[in-house]
Amino acid sequence: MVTATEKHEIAWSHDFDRELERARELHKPILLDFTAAPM
Amino acid sequence: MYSNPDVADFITNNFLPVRVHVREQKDQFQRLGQRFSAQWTPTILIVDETGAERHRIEGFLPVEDFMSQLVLGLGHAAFAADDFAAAEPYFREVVERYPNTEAAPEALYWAGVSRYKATNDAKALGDTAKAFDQRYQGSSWAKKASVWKNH
Repeated sequence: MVTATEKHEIAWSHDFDRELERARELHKPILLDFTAAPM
Repeated sequence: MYSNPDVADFITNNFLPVRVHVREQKDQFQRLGQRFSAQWTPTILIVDETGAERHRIEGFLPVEDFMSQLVLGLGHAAFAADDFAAAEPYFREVVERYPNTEAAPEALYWAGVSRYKATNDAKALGDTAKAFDQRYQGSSWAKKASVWKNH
């Protein structure tokens, strides 16, 4: 079951190349976040 | 920024979110950081389906400012794809929903440009210049639009 908290979490990918392929298929932009925050 | 539910939902609905950690993904960061000239964190880019950067956010922003930048970036991505009819509503949304952010005067400018590009009617530029007489008079975008006053 998906909780309310989980529902609002971002499902980050860590594979830019794969997401760029998906971006072409879905015609959707990528939000690319370079971070140093704890993961 | 990302812990805010509105931000999280907006990103989920409008983007494919990718995160590269500068230390834990050193290889990816070295390659992509160099490709996109990312020299600071957070650096957040809106990258279109061609792999081109269309908008850049560097440093932390409060939620309203961050949201305004995300919508502004969607406008720039649509504009770069020559989809001016899609770009203008994004820019108008920034002005209407986030009028007190730094993104707003930039968005007002590009909304006018988008309408002009979509319609080829120079009145869109004149109207934009007039709109800058009412708000954001001190902004650099008002100065840029001032050349359109006689359109």
